[in-house]
Amino acid sequence: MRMVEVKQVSKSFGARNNLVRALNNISFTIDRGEFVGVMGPSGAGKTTLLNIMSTIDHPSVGRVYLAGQEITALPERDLATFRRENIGFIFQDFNLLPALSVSENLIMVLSMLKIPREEVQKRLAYYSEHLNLKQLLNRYPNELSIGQKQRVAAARALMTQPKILFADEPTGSLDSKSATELLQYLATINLENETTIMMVTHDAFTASYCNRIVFIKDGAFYSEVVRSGSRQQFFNQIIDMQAAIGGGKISDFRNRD
Amino acid sequence: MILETAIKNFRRHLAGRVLYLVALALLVMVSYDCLTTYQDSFINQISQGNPALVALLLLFFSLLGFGVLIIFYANRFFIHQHRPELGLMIISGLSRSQIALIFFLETLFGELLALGFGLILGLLTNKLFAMLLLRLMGLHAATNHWFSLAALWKTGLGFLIVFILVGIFDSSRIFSLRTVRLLYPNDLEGIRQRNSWFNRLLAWLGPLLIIAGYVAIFKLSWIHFMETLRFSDRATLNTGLIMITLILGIWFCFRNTIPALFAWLQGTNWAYRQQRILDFATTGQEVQFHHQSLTLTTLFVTASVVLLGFASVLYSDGFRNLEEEAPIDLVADHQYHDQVLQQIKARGGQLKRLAHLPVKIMPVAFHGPKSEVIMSQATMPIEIVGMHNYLQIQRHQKNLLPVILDRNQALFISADFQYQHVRLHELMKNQVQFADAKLPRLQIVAFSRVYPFGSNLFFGNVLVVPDNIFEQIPDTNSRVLVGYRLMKIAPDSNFLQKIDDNSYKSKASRQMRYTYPKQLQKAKITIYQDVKRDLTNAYISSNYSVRGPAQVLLQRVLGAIVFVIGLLAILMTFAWASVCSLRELSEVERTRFDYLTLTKMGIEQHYLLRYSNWKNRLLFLSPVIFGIGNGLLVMRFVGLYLNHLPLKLLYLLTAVVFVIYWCFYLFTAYNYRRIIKMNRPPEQQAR
Repeated sequence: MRMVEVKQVSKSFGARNNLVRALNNISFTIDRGEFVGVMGPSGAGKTTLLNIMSTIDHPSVGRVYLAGQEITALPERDLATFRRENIGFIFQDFNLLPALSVSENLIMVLSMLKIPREEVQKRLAYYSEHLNLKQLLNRYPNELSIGQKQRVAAARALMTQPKILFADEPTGSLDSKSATELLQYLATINLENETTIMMVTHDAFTASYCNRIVFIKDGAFYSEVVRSGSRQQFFNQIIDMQAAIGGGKISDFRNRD
Repeated sequence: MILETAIKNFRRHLAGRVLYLVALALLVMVSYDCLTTYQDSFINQISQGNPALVALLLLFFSLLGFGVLIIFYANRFFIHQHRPELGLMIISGLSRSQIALIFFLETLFGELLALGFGLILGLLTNKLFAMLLLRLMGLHAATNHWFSLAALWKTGLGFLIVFILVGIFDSSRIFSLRTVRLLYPNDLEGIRQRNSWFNRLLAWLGPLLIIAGYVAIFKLSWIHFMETLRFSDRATLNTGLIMITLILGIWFCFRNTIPALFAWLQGTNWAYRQQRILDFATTGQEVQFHHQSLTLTTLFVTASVVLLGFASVLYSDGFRNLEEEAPIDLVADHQYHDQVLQQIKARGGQLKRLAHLPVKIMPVAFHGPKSEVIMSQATMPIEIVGMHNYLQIQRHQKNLLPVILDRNQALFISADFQYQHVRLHELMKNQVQFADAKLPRLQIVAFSRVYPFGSNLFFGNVLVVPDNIFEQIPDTNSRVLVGYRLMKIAPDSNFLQKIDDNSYKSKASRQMRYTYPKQLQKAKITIYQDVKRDLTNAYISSNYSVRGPAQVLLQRVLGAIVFVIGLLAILMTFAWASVCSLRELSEVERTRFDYLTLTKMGIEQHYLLRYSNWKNRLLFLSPVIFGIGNGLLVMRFVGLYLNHLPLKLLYLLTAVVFVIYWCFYLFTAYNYRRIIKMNRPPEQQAR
């Protein structure tokens, strides 16, 4: 089943005399249950692409379908419902609501969905158990470490049991131990719940947890690499592709695994 | 959950918004006080339904309007402060209406707190408010009225409507926010000035417009707009032109000139040798980012200083004029003496004779610098009083200038001299030559604008001379004025109003025809009355005057207007300073990451704090100083025009405005530093 379809999307910024084309007629698809990474050099348009696919931004030209729904044509009031029911998002810099405790951050959206209290508590217990947040539920974001904040952000994104999870450099601010734990968890929910995940990263080690990598350069589709063997082999393939685009070293993998 | 989130957000931001809420509470307090006093039957009764009390109603509506502006602007900074949170809520799936509701509730809690607190303060201060107003209106009465249910609910309802109105504006703003801008803010990049020819033109245009505005203040005729307030009038058009020129000039200065100047400074080598100048220069983009609020601050400070200026003019000068026009209860010439006295006694009034003043009249010529300007022609008629009688009156009229004259010396009294733009030392070099050649020339040694018994009783200028000279002056056309103290009749009674009105009627007026003014010896004075007023004749005076309802009314109107204008200016200062504070504190979240990065790069904290102090000082105080400069310049011009403007009182009130802004700056700078330190990530906290 096709979960994401990006059709000839272009995005331009700026005025007429200093126009910047961040995305240039890009098209690809993602099937249900895939764990797809988006890679490319700085300024390639990775975050812009993620923003458009996750309803944060609008394309200048083109269409995007999520779960069979054309999101680029949805009015704002329908988008809110669509986001609640279908999308989860993990940011690089956590973006927790500072006035709310960890548990309140986790259940806020569910309370808007009017899901029964028992179900909310059940999910809270499940995700806090799996992401090791049980001791942190009554704390506030400013009382958490960086790794703890990112785990809370991941739990919050998963609480609505989204059909597709978008992650923008989710390990960018984490130490290697916290990053590995988070990636392993994302891989687990991808396998167990068939949650479709699309992750933007510039790090080959992080990307090696995916099963397909879409490479973009200068806003256009460049190539893609599909995992067929071990993670080590997949990592090498990614490094080779990064080298072809420009950047990346084999020592990254050796140092971190 | 919406309510819970709003409550938690409100509690989280309460400390940073305390002064803003206090400012809002003060607006509510004064609004309640205005309505209560306006509706107070006792005050209405003792002030005889004075129309000046309507000024309180105007102040109430002005405060509601100002409240809309203040809350609207403050909420704009709150939305700015909340941007990442709003973006997160949108992407989490909350609808815009739910987010708008959370924001509305969060701000409403603060506003309701301010409303409640303001109403309590209003109940507590209402008596003080009423007493101050009564004192300024010249009413000596005590009032214990402090509670008015009607005023309570009207004030509450008025401000609730304001809160809802601003809430609707905020909601429409939240609906128009772009998610990507909330999650990936790039404010300064977005407004970075391009070095286009148009921006360079605007950068030059800003100061040029301000200079043009200043030149126009001094060169164009505009001050009469206060009298006409007609669009077709030249002065009103000139006033509008000056205001638009200054507003545009200030706006372009903050938007283009200062950022361009600072960008140029950053590019110079010597700025890098002077660390403080470099710190200063790097704030250019911040100035451009906040150019709207900086322009508004300048305009509000200018408006506050001008309002306080007019309040101080009215207070010092208006009341003085009133006292000079009718300083003694009743003064009558011998022609009307018996008639007026009988009328008053018949109404049960009692009279106490204070002093009498024989007045003679003669053509004179001034000799000395600018003598023709002083006389407005080659010679002039002058009324003359003796020093002994003048000093007798001074015992009862304390504002008369105390002088002791030697032989050949004279005191010149004129209400017109101050408008002639002749310096006092030039007047003092003049001598007075009388039409009677036997009389010696007298040297002017003193000047006063205060007439004995009041200016209405004289044709124009008066000379106080030594008694031996006075006796030598012929009695032709002379008269005697007698002053009385009135008792047992209310000063604002209808009966006195009638006497006052009659004294201005044509037949009661004394008129003078002055001929052959170019040759002193041939000059001729003819006094006549009991005829219809000759409108071409400039020389008219009253035969009697009574300090009655007209003065009382004017005094009360002046008092109410001074009170309302002064209060509005101070409240405007306090409330806008709180909004400036919010603007700075709403930025701290955005800048603290820069501070952390710079700290990680090894830059010492005190250098970073010094930069933040520079930035806060520039953004907070530069529009205040600019606005004070503008306001003082405008009032200085008004002062030159009026020639007797009490600028000392204005300087004192201006200092109060600056001190208020300075206190808010200290509060803001302290909190700014506190938040930067408080938000450090755990690994950077002091161990």
